[in-house]
Amino acid sequence: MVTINKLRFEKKGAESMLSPLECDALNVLWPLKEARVREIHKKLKAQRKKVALTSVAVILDRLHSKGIVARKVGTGRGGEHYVYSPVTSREGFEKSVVECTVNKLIDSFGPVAVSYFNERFSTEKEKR
Amino acid sequence: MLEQVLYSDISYSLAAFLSNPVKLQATIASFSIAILSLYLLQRKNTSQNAKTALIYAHIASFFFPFVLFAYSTGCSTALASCAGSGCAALANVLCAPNLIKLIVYPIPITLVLAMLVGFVVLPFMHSASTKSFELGDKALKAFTQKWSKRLEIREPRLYAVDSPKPFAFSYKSFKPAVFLSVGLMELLGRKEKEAVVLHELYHVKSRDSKFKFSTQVMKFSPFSIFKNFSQELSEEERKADEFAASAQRTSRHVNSAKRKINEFNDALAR
Repeated sequence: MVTINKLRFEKKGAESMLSPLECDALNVLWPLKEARVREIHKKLKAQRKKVALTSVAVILDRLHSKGIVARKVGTGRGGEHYVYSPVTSREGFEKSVVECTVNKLIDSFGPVAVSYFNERFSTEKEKR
Repeated sequence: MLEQVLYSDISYSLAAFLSNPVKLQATIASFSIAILSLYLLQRKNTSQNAKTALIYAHIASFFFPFVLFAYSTGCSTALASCAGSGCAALANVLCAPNLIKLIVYPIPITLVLAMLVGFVVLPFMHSASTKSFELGDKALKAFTQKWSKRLEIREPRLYAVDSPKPFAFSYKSFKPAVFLSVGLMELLGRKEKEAVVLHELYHVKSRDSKFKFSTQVMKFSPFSIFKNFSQELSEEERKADEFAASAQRTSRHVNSAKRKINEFNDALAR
């Protein structure tokens, strides 16, 4: 389950709750399914993004703490390393952000939020 | 009434203890050794092994008179001054010598336990922890084997620690071991990892983990406020870096490894 503490309404999609570098790392990770820190760093550099390997490692650790990516220890060339993989697809992630946000609104405002959502959804249905 | 009994018990016990010439001489000698060892610890040219021995000499000689005093006191005065069975029972339990024993006796026991934990339990816990596992990097293992032979030390086992933070540490207990975090393995290049291993091998060779632990034991003594070991500890780190640089014939790798570790910690703090 994704945990949301802050939403930036001026941004859209995953960027509304993640930092630009977190989004960049996730955008690389989603199509790859799983990748090492060095691989993600290499891809970001190929996209002409100026970012240090240490920053990518920190960002992936933050995404892991937020429950957005999973990690396991792998062994290969160069010894032990982490293999990161997204917990859900982009759609699944965005759905869980919406779910978490709506739940938080209902928890905070109760019936006011529920009646607003009913009103809003019925208008949307009528429009369609 | 009981307060007076307790007070008289302490003064009586202390007077009896100090009037015994053997105990008095032992106390003076013991405190003198504690002060002398503290003085020798302040000297710059004292070797690390000698400093470790001096720390334990200071601790033992500082606490010995207290233990001797606690051992040689009894509740006889309190009981003798008491009238009635209720007072006698209470005085027996709460008498000053018993309270002194209660405070003083745990000190040597705690010291022995702390040493047991530091030298045996903690190293065992580190290697037996579910977060630690034997390192799979064969090239680094071969490198460690080669340098252990050169340094004439028992080859330490290499462990990886499941942590994204880059760090390394070592200890020289029954079996020497070097621990490298997965984060460190991931961020550093081949030569930088070798620099870290060389740095840790120097610590194993010079038994720095024992000295480091002993500096913590020193904190049991109230005189520890007069002795700060940070200079010695940073000096050991500098020597370990110097050793890694001289072994690699360049300080480039050890410096870049340190830079990457600092970069990670800075990024984490942001």
